[in-house]
Amino acid sequence: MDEGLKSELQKAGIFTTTLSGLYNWGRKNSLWPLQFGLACCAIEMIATSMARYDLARFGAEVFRPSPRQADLMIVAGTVTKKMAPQVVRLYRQMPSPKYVIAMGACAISGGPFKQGYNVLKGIDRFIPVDVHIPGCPPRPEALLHSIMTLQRKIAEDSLAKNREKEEQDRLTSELPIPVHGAQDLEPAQNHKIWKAPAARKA
Amino acid sequence: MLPNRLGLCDLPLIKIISLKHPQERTLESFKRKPSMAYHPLLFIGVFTLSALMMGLLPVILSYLWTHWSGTARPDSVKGSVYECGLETHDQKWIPLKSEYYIFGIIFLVFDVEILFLLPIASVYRDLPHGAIVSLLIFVFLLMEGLAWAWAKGLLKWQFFKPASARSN
Repeated sequence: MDEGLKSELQKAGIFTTTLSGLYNWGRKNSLWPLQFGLACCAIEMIATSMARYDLARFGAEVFRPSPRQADLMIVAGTVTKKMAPQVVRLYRQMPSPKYVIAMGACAISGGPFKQGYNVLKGIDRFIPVDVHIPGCPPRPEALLHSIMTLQRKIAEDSLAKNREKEEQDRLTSELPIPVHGAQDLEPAQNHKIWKAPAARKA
Repeated sequence: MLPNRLGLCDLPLIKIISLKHPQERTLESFKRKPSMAYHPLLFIGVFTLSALMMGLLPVILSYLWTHWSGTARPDSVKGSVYECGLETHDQKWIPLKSEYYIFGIIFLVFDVEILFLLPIASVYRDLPHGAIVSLLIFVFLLMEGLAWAWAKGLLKWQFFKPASARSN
């Protein structure tokens, strides 16, 4: 519907919406995050859900202890290579549609431990990330901002089936779970969802 | 006019529901046979149906929704039993010891039964024989539980040991 007409009707006290608008409105205001924290970012995540920052204002305070009930994964902290397969398995066990917020420098790139032999250099090597939050650790406001960003993203989702969406869905439901090899995780990254950044010449 | 076949219409609730407003009582309504709409057992049916629907409707709706949206993609990882991120190992179908039932029995005998025995003790002289007999059946059913707990050696005063170590 035309935005101008919509606001004209609104002035007359008539509110119009679409089915997908209503559906997404419900979805974006009832995100259920998976209750798991990996490092110090988790403390900030916990603080966000408490009374001072009050994640409940965004309808995302119901942290679920089971991936079967969650639709948002907040990767809060350093993902070690020991932990990466578990994170991917948890992601696989979440029902679609599901979203991922990579919280903090470690989750998005390895952070201060990037040179470490045992730290995964960003969770987006294995699972598709919707929102990245930089910071070490990010303040609760930053997490709130990422939730709002994700809400905007969900609001733009379409209810209609399309090939691209189905392909994406198939891809995320078949993500390989890495195993511990002799040197590194095998595979070390999922090339279907992650491309190595091109090396820049100085 | 009212369905009084089961004698249930003497209950005040049924009476209130089944009495029509006087103005609605036309000659036609007197001529009609008692309709099934006021059958007292109907309420039980309605309540049973709504209780079932309360449980089944969300399941049916979510089933339809996943089919319509096409997001159901079950696989072995998604459907695995353990949900803490680690791989499920060992057998999933193992026998679990159901030891809790014994606490259930003891609770029924010493808590619930006492609760019922107190009012019974105060009125049993005035009760008809039929009521006494049915009360006794109830009490003896629970006594059976007491006998069972006794035979299991649960009434012995001792430090706590799991029931498995205690029996035999």
